[in-house]
Amino acid sequence: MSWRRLRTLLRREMLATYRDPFTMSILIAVPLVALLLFGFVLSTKVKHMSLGVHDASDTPASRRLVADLSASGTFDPRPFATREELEHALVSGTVSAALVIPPDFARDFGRDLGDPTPGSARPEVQVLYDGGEAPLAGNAEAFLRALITSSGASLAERHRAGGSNSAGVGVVTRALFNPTLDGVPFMVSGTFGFVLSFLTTLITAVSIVNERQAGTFDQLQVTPATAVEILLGKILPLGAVFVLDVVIMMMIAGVVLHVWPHGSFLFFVLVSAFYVLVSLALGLIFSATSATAAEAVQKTVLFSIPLVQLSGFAFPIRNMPAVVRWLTELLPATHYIRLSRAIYLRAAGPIALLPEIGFLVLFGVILIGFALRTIEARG
Amino acid sequence: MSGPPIQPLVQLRGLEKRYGGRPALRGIDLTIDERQILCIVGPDGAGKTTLLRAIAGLLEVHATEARVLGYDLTADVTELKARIGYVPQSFSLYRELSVMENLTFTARLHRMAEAEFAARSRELLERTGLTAFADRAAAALSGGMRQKLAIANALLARPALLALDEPTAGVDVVARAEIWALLERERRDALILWSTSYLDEAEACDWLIYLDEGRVVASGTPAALRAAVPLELYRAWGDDARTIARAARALPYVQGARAAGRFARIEVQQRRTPGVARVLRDLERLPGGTVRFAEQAEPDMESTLLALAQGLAG
Amino acid sequence: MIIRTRGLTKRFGDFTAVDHLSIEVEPGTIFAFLGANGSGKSTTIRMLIGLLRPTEGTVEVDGIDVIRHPRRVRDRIGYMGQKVSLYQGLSIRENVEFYAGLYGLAGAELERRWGALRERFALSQAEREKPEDLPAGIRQRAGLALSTLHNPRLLFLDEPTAGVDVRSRALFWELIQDEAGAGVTVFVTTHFLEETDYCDWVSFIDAGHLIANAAPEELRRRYSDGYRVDIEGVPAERDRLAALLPGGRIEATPSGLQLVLPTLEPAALAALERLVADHPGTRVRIEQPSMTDVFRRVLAERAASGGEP
Repeated sequence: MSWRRLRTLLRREMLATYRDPFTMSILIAVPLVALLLFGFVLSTKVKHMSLGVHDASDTPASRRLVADLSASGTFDPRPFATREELEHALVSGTVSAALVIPPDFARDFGRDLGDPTPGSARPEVQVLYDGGEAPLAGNAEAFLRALITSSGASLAERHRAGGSNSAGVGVVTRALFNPTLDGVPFMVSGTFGFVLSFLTTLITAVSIVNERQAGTFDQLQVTPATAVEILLGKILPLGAVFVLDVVIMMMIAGVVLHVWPHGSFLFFVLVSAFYVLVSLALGLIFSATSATAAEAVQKTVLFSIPLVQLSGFAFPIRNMPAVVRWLTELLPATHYIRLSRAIYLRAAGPIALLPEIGFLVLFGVILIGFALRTIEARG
Repeated sequence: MSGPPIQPLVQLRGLEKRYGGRPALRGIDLTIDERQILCIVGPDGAGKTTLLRAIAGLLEVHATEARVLGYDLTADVTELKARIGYVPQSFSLYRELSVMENLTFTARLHRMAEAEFAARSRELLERTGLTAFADRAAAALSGGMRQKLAIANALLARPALLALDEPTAGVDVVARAEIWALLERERRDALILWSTSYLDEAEACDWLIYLDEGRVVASGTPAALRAAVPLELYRAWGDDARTIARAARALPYVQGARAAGRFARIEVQQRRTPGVARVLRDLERLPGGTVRFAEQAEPDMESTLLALAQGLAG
Repeated sequence: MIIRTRGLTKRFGDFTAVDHLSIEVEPGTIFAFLGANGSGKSTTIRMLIGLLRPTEGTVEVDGIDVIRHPRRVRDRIGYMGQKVSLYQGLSIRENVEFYAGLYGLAGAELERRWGALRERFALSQAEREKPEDLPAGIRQRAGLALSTLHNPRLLFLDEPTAGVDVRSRALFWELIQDEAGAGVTVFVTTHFLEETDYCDWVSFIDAGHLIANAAPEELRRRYSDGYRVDIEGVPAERDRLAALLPGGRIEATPSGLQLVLPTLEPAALAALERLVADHPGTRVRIEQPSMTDVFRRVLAERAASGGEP
């Protein structure tokens, strides 16, 4: 490989890309918009969820429970006089979840667990929620359950202190690493994966096709430039722009959305940089099979839609059928998103993430190998 | 339907067309009174396609006056389009349909009567030599045959004006000659406007228009244009025409020289010529080249167009 | 032979673009590869320069087996495709620096070389412009200049004069002829028949087949009515001329003589020169058969015989 030739190729690619205002604005604007969009607007964070409450008991204990729920800020309780009104509100969507406290709530509380009275049980409340909003529902249900149980436990404590023997100890589930079940960090760390998969592939796919159409690709292949040089000449400058993107996105996520990586900044950037190169190589492969830029865009979009669905970006992989789960393992995006979430949310280090990194490297090698073949291809 | 021509057939004054910020036609003046074969030549980007499309009623234009077959180009051109046959640069018929199916489609669009269509299509297929290929899909035809199909298609409804955009571009020699013969026959019944980059076709037409950068640079019969060209053409015959051409270029007044077969073709601008006698003498005495003898030649189409192109470059 | 192909074939599925093509090109000549659109010209050129792998056959360029070692020819060939491969958004000068870098040309050497080319190809004004802002003729000229930048021994030009104004076309051929004069082998595809007169050898391809493969002069000899030489002057010379010009016909005309010669041999030209020298005031005019007419006859004869002529 000739360094001079590589330098020549790099210089040209950089000149051309940086001078193109359209491409440059897309490369900077899209990641930021995606980040803010997903982080701010579409986040599945549970906050101020309107909770309809029908308190049929209306005792200090039940009022205490409702007060605890609203204190967390997660729910906005709204009182409903009758059960029918509450259910109506739930159906019409006025409230996202509903809590029904039965008339004998306090009485059940006061009851001793050792009480041999038949039919006695721990106090129960009924929670109704809109199961259609799956992510929301999952969060909400877990949260409610947790809050209610802890509230119930503290109430039981007081009763015990007062001399009764109620056992009121519930298992409190507390979500690790995201105690408020805040969706924003989850979405933010996933957004990197989305942007770095879709936009990167698109840029190279279009870039090479345009060169083929303009005739400059043929010309390149006739010069002494090798396939490796041509490949690097294409993906290094574009890769540099995307790495810059990653850093900017991390800054914006931190400053505007208050999401900073728990793990190493540098490690994240390095992993992202490698993933960028892998995605760019994939774009080159798309371009080899496309006659026009429109076709390349189509292929990228058609590929990226399932990518988004399957990579764990928005929908948990564990909920998918086994066959599909296997399929997701074949997507580099899946592994990168795991890596980015691990670093952002769990401060995981290189040693712990070795398997995932290994996958990425393997994919990288395979894709780059293919990309080289397509550059050298002679019909 | 063609009948007695509507005088004038084409009347353009100050015709302009812009695409966004870019002017494609900058004030075209053109009057065509009679049916003939009129050829438009000029470099790529000169506006040939734009002019043809404008005349065919396909573009919105601005003009002091723009009338084709009596119809105003800036007004409703629906009636005009029914009387025009247009063949664009790239094949625009249906590749999956057969020759006959394509013709039928067009006939239906023009609401031709069955009997008339049958007779006309048979006649055209014969004249284009496509009778044997009537059922073949257009995609399976050679380039030349496809062009002939496109022309037959444009001729189907007996247009009064036929506009063709480089119909012979890249077509093989024989098909080119056939297309020319086809169009020559139509000359009686229609005004034929076409653009070409082939010099022999430009030479053979009735009237020639040279377009460059959206303007008509020259207009006249090929003979008149040739006569008016401010270029002298010489031929220096010898054993090694290439060396002769190279040596000739060293002469101060020679604009261009290249070997063409057994002679070197030498162009001298009229305003720089030292006179025919002197040029001939210099040529015959060229150092290094073995010039047997030199003669002055009549300017041909190539030198004519060259001079016209040069005129713009200054 | 600097280029040699044997049985060169390229098939795309059912479609045979090039069918057992065997051609040879002598060094330092201009080889015209002629045919209509879709005849297989571009496919052939791409196989010659290693951009496309043939289905069958062999290709040898400058002693290198292009099929097995496509990369080895790259520094000795220059190529100009149908679409002039200049990068938009970069000035002509920046394009020059790019391609120069790929060929290892830089510094003073590059300045010298480009300076000369800029002069010859009349590109001084265009140097700072971007290709998209230049007319087609100047773009093609820049493309041609670039293809010669690294002093290649072979030039492959795919329809270099298509869509180009007459002036640029003329300039092109002057430049190509100069290159050949300097020893460069030029392989040109075109569909303008008259351009074959600028070349040393012509191969005419139709639907992937070679249907003519000879020097223009030879094609004229076989497929035309010959050169017509009109001499206004001295009829008494008729017999002497007849002796000097075998193979031709002499007829008397009202103003002198008319000779019809199948080719224009040096001996014939020399004889004519002597004639004019001996008899000042004699006017000689020669009409060379046009290659357009020649090719029409080639194809007509082929059609008439239903196959190879």
